[in-house]
This record gives sequence, structure tokens and C-alpha cells, in this order.
Amino acid sequence: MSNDMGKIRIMPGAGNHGHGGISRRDLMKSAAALGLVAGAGGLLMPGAARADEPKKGGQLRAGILGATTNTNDPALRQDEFGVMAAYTTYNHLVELNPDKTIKPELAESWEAKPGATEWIFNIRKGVEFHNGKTLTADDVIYSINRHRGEKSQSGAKSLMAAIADIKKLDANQIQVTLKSANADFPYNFTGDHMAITPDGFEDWMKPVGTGGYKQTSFEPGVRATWVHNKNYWKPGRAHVEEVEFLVLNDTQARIAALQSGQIDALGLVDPAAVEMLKGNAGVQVVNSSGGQFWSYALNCKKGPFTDPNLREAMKHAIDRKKILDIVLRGNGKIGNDQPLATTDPMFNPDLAQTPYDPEKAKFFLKKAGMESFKIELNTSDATFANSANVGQLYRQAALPAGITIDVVRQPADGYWDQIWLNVDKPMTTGVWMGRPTADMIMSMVYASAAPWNESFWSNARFDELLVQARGELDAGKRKAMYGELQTLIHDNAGHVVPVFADFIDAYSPRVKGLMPTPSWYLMGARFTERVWLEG
Amino acid sequence: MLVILAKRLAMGIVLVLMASALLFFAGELLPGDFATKLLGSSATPETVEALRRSRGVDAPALARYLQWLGGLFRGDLGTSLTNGREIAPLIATRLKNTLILAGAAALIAVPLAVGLGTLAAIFRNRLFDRAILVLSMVTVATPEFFFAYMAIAVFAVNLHWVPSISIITAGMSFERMLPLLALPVLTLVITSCAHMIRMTRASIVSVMDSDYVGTALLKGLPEWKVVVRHVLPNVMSPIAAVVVLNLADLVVGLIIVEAIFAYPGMGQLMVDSVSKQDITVVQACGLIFAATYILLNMIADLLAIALNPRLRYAR
Repeated sequence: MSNDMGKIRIMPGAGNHGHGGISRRDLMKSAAALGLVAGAGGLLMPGAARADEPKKGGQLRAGILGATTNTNDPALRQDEFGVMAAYTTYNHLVELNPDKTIKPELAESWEAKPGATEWIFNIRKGVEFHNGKTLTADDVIYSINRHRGEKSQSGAKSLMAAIADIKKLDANQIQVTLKSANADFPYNFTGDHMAITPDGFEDWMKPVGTGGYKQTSFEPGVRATWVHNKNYWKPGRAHVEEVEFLVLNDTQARIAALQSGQIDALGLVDPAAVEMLKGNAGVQVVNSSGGQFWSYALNCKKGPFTDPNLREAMKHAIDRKKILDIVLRGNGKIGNDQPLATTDPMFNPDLAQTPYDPEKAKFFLKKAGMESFKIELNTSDATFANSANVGQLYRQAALPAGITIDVVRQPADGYWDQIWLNVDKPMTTGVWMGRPTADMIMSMVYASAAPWNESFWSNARFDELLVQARGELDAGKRKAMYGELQTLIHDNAGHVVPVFADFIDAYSPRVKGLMPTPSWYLMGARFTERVWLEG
Repeated sequence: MLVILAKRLAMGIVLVLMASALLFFAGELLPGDFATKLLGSSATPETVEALRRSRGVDAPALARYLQWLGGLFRGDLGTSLTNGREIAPLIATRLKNTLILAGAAALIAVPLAVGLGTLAAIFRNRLFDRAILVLSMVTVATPEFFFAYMAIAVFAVNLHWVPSISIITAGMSFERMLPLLALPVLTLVITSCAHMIRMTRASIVSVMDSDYVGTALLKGLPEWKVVVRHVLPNVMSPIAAVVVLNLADLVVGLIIVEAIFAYPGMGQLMVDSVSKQDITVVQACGLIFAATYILLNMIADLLAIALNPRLRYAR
């Protein structure tokens, strides 16, 4: 059990820090087009669901990972609880669609002035907060500014650091000026941190938003309840009458709660539990294939991997298919040492898949002037479940190539602080949730100055091209630029991406309107707004 | 008797103080820290420093320990590092829940264990005794999460008799709480009985082997009468001690059961706080657990003395 508890904490937690955490925090990810979901059996067929008309009413109960430390404050929210609650209580300026496009939410429309550094957002009129106050530009500016400035402790601080200035143009219009051009800027307003609250609001035990549900009780680390917002402005959304989140952290207990009918929705399902759940009458398992990937960071600044030949050897010495089959039980896709899922609009299909080829690995080893080679791989439960076992699979695959990987299992406590991003460690393990745009994930992990450049990779051409692509408004040119960026990462970066892991959710038979949503668990964290209940 | 009581109390206080020091400084040694955990993607050195300062964690450890200790004497457990909320009210609710669960388990387990232990002693070396022996060995040797998951699989998932998660809330009526408590209480009863059964049986058996019991039997008294009249009064003291120690185990040993059933008690709170490195809450929980344990141990000792006249007069 202790083991299981560890696992849970990890998955979601993924750490609150490091990528895992980040990921959660910034949520989104990239995505896959709906269609792709397919793969694993058991998926839900969206078509069937669509045929039904949404029904009103009922109580939707979800098992959510959380802790006593959780808060409704969008800036400091943690865990799955914080993300799911953000999309239940609050709205955001922009909504991310399941196909990774965006559409207006509290911002009715927006436009970039030429050059993509100045953006005008028109705030929707006539929207009421739960306390009866009408939404204005002041509320929006307050909500954004909470993530900016020296004193901000927000998880979205780095994202919002791109903003140079925000101006109120009139009661329903704001202008955002960026420090540098960004053609994808509105995506930054889709993340859960960017929830809109009333101007000056700070009573996080009794949150006020404009979302589909009004929070009626909140016991951190235990449960929270909501009732339907009668004045909800968005048509065709927020169907149920009551929402209840039960904080469930134990892996087995979560599954049992769904099997025994105590909850209707469960995210972060362990791949090992998928087959068992499908054996349960009526339980619906939904796989969403998106940008969540695992990584091995090869230190390009210090130690053996300063030699690109050794990086190349490591990329050929891993059996990705085996890891996908054994550890993820097929619930995912193999990776190709770059961060975009095959379904990402910017994915470069011309990039050849690196095969598992010990001979080729040996060849690169020779090129580096070596017959055999020994390296220490740091893994931790703080990254993804079973990371030490995956490390062992890597070790086995690499042995025939003359590479001996010593798998070290580091304690989860302190992993992100002391082991990961430590320039003295030659090789570490990471996990990333993906981001809504290619630029976000690349700027965060691969740019020389990126905050989480876990492999300490530095490439002048990449850095330059990344900035150009960000400001490029022409779709065709951008796609070509991101294609080259992926090639640079794939060929040269110190990053081995073994697999992309599906987001796996499970629902009780009475939940309808389900569809794979590649941005995160539980329909991109928007399940309370999108599903309805039957019977 | 009063002198003994005073001595025990003084010793208890010293022990609690030692536990507090241990808890505090062990917390200091943990790798990582709450600020980097909480700040995540914005954990630059400056924001971490700002948050640490705002929670008063930048002062030297010894100064913080003394300040914490001072607060404890005023009943102030401090504030949570992660959300800045007062710890005392949070712990009050959780402690109440834990006591409800432990109390319910004890209410069933204690009479059951003492009864079964007595019966085993009476039917010693017969089939009933053997069966009890084997069963108690099995329950002692099996981790409690196993019973918890088995109970969930059988009674919640397959039979649908009771819920598999036990989230109770303030103001919930007793009738509504009962089904929620069923599985955690069942698990605790199974795992806590064995020790008490075996100790009860062993105490009774050892007394039954004594000469005066032999005399009573020889004079023709039925065995049950001998046990109830002559043996039980003499084994009260060791049994009481075992029972109270098991109560202590129940209160502080709920962590796993609470985690599995998502029961909102102290154990769950402690697990949460450890995972978020919210050390002040961990310390407060640990201290309460330590104090409970020390207090109940003290009660066990005192009970043993009170029930055994021979111990009352130190030679």
C-alpha cells in the first residue's frame, strides 16, 4: 500500500514542481485530434454520445486527487483538485477546444495589431458573477495582474512575464502589450491559473466566479460541492444540478469507488487498471492521446553527453515499443525524441522514427572512440509511476550495445529540487504534460535559457528560429519553422523521449456526452461543464 | 499513590518535550521544502525566498523551535506553511473524526477480544482454542491494507452493502455515518483483536496453572466458575494494560486505514502534509500522536497499579 500511495502522489502530483508539476499547472497540452483516440480498445465512441440530447439535472460525483493544502486561489492552486475546480467555478478569457483550436469564452473576441505584440481583447457583456456583480475589464485586469509582478507567487508567473503592460481601453475592452511578438498569445489565457474573479477578490474559502457552478462547500483535502449556476451565460453547457468532488488519493480506493458506484468520474487512471475496469459492466474508459510524455535528459553541458555521438547512441539503445507495451500496456504512442504528439497541428511527419538498433548504437559509441560505456540514470517516483522499472527496461535494451546503465532510484522528496536540473547529474528522468502550443513546450524545455532545460542543451539556430516562429503570423511559414525546430531537437538535443502516455479516464455508465480530449484528464479538466447524466 | 501519579506525569511531560524536539529537528532534515513545492513553475530563488519569509521560515531553527514550543503552551499550534491557515481548528475536526473511528473500533474490538481470549483459555488446547490461535496468527501476520482491500472488494464492490469510501462530514447524523464507518471499523477490529486475544488468553492460562486455581478445581467448582470468580480478578491488571496499549495503537495507527477509505482523520491529514512538506502541520500531528501514546501508556501503567494492590506499595 505504501507503494500505491506513493504512486498516486506522484502521478498527479507529479510533483508540484518540476515538470510534472508544471505540467499540471499549466495544464493543457497538446493534442491530438479527436479521431486519434482510437487505439486502445474500450474507447468511447463520440458519435453515439452525440446522438443524444443533453439532459438537465442530477448529481455528478468525481474522485479527485487532492490534499488538505488545496485552495480555490487560481494562483496557488495545486493538484488535480485545483485544476478541476478552476474549470467548475470559474471561466477564463479563452477556451481550448478538444481539437486544440481556441474559442472565445469571457473574451468575446480579440485581435492582434500587426507585429503580434499588441493585443486587444473585448470582454463579454452582461456576464454575472455568482455574487451578482457584472463582469467588467477591471475584473479581468485584476485577475491577470495577480500573476504578474515581483510579489506574485503564482504558478502562471512565468507565462504572464511575457506581458509588458495591460491597459483598460473602456469598460469592456483591454489592451495587452507583450515584451515580444507572440502569434499564439491568446492560448496563454486558456490555462486554469488564468481564471477570472471579481476585482479585489480574495476570499478563497468561498470563491466567486462566472462558471457553470457555484461552490457551496469546501473542505480542503476532503470534499467540495457545487450547485448549478442559474444565471450561467454559456448556452448548451453545465447540465447537471449538483457537482461533488471527493478527494481520493489511494489508487485502489479510487478504482473501487467507481466500481461500487460511489463516484461517476475518475481521471488519472493507472494503465494497469484499464483492462480490469473494462470488465465492469458499463464502466466507460476514455483514452485521450495527447502531449504527455516521459523524458530522459542527457546532460549536454557536463560529462560524457557533451559528445553528440553518445547522445545519438543512447537514442538508438532504447526499446520504445517494449516500454509502451509492458509499462503502459499499449495506452500511448512511442516517442521520437521531440516534444510534439503526432496529432499536434505543428507535428513534422517527415521526421524519421529512430529505431531500437543496438548495432547502430555501437557504431555511434565507436565514433565517440569507445568500446563500452557506463552511465548513471537517476529515476524517481516523483516523475511517473514505475520510473525505476522503465529504467531497468532501458538498461536491458542498452546492454547489447555495450552501454551499461546504472539505474538509481532517488527518493521522491527533493527529487525536483536536488537531482533534476542538477548540472552534476549526467542523466535524469522527467515527465511533461504537453502544452497547448508548440512554442510553449519548446520555450519551456529546449531554449538555451529555458527554465526547465533539463538536458542543458544549447543551440544557437534553435534559439533564433524559436523566437522567429513565435512572432510569425503566416501559418504555412510557421509550420515549416516548427518542423525544423523539431528536427533540431530530434537530431541534436540531449533528450530521449521513449513514449507519449495517454490520459486515461473512467466514468460510470450514466455519464453521457464524453469525448476524448487531448489537453488533460477528465475532458481537458472541463468535464463538469460538458457532460450530462442519464437515469 | 499520589507520588507515583506525580512521577508518571512528570515523566510524561519530559517525554512529550523530547518528542517535540525530535519531531521539529527531524522535520528540518527533510530534503526539499514547501516553498518550491508550492510555487512550482514560478519557483525562482526570489519567489521562494519571499514565500519563506512570509511564513517566517527564514529564522534560525532553534529560535523557531522555541517559538513553536511557546505557542504550544498557549494552545497555539501555529499556521500551515502552505496555505497560512490556523492549524488548531483543522486538527480539532480531524482529531474528532479519528477518535470517532478509533472509539467505534475499540467499542467492538475490546469486548470481543477479551471474550474470545477468555473462551480460548477455558477451552484451552481444544479445537476452539486452536482455531482462535490460528486466526489470530493470520490476522497479526497480514498487513491491514490487505483486509481493507478485501473488505472493499467483497462488501462494497461485489455485494454493494456499504460504501467503499468513508468521507464523513461535520453535522452528519449517526445513522448516515454508520454505513460509512462499517468497513474501516471492520478492518480495525480484525487487525487489533489478535494481540488482545492472545494476551488475555496467556494471562488467564498462566493464572489457571497456579496452585490456588488447582485447589479450587479440586474442591469441585465448575471450570467456568473458577475462571469468572477466581481467575479474572487476578488477570484484570495485565489485560487492562494490553487493552489500553491497543487503544493507543488504534489512535496512532489509523494512517493506512484512513488513507484507503479516504476517511478525513488525523492520519490522512498527516499523509497530506508530508506529501506537501507542510512541516508545521506534520509536527503538530506528530506531537498529538506522541502525546496520545504517552498518555495512554501512562494510563495503562496506572491502571495496572490500581488493579494490583501489590504494585501499590513499593518495596
